[in-house]
Amino acid sequence: MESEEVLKAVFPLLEGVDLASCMAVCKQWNDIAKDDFFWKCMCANRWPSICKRPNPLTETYYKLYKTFHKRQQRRTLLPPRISFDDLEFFIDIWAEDILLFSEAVSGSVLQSGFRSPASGVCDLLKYHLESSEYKMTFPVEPRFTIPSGQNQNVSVSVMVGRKDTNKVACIINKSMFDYIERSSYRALAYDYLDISPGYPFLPGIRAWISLLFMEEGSEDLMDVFGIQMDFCDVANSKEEVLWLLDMLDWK
Amino acid sequence: MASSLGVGSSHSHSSSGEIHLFVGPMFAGKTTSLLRRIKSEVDNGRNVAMLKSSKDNRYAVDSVVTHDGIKFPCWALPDLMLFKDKYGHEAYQKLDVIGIDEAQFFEDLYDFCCKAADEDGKIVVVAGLDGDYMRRSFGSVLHIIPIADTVTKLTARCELCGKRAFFTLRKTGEKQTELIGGADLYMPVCRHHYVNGQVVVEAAMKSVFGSQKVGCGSLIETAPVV
Repeated sequence: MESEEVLKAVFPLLEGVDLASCMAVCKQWNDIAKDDFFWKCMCANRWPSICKRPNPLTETYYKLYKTFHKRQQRRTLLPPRISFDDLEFFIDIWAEDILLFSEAVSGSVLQSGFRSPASGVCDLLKYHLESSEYKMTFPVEPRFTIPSGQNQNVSVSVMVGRKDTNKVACIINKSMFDYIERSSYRALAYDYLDISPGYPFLPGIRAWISLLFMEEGSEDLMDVFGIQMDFCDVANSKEEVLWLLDMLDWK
Repeated sequence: MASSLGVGSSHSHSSSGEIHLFVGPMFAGKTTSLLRRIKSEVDNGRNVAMLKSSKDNRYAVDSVVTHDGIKFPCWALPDLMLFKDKYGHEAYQKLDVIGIDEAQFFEDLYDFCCKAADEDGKIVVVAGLDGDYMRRSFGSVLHIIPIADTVTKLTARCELCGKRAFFTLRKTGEKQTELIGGADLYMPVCRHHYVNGQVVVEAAMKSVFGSQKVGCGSLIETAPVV
């Protein structure tokens, strides 16, 4: 019996992983083992119903088996379809009816971030700003103050525009800065994102915005030197953020 | 009078009830999520009533207020089982949805949810703390997980590093049985900063100002000392 015939008799008895290993032994074994008949046998053992049709669902049974024989590992994200250069963020902050801050911030500015001021920033906040973790921040120039009294309603709205399609989406719709962290000198607001109807099964995803303020301030006023935005419920890298923004309900 | 706090049209409830649970640490937005759900039910023409505990009466006792200032009328009760009598049996029959805020304070939460969903066919939406500042089960909230259709654990932001916070840490060294307070006494923290809690507490106590809430104070919750 020639070695080729021996291999053809043995290969159908192997598991798929072992047959794949045989393909790496030498050219002769590879030529025999890549015969789709063997892989049809593998698929017939695993998914008998698929092999009832005359032709494989994919180009070859080998491709079908290779693709689906084990659970897919979490794949790396494909490159986002938009970039920060395409985006512009419109941020308005109000105390009651008084406009405190109103600015259009380009995506590239938000993306590039900033270093914290040399002095006057608490250690916790400085450590956070200078850490290597991904964050979207920009400096506030000139700085503004917000009242910290119990009866003051400080709210924020954030819209985002796309230069590539001339469309706009809402990120935060008049939410209150209702939680002030005096140990890390931040005021936080959030809102739930309006995701495109094209993604109907996504759960509530929040956008967060933080006002970063100086350590030495009066008890009544907080001196804001920077603003941070994030989507930490689901997106913690540049690519994830861009994918999330792409999924907004653009109008 | 009794039915004035039911919001929505008179719309007969579905034959089978549902229970939906929102849990998480303080300042995670549980009340906001509850009210978003309740508001969507009202928009769908359902008849809704909101309940909350009468134990914490520092803020408006007849309404629940969310972080963006939306108010929703509610019943403040010491026990949930009193609701049917106070609301009126006829009005109760017409109810489709019952929202429960600060659920950790209701000892009869399990019995009420069972009866409302299983027997009366109501949709019950519950929001409450799942754990106290020691990360131990708080009240009856966790008891209703086996009977819930959905359970959503919300996260806050760690006050020390800004990452997702799953736990509530007490800033003070108080040891009394129940310490009612908000951001002045408690902070949301991530696992790392909870484990290093003593360092955090000391840092917070040295802080020039205590943390404080601005705007509407309704999100201020309470966490017990057990």
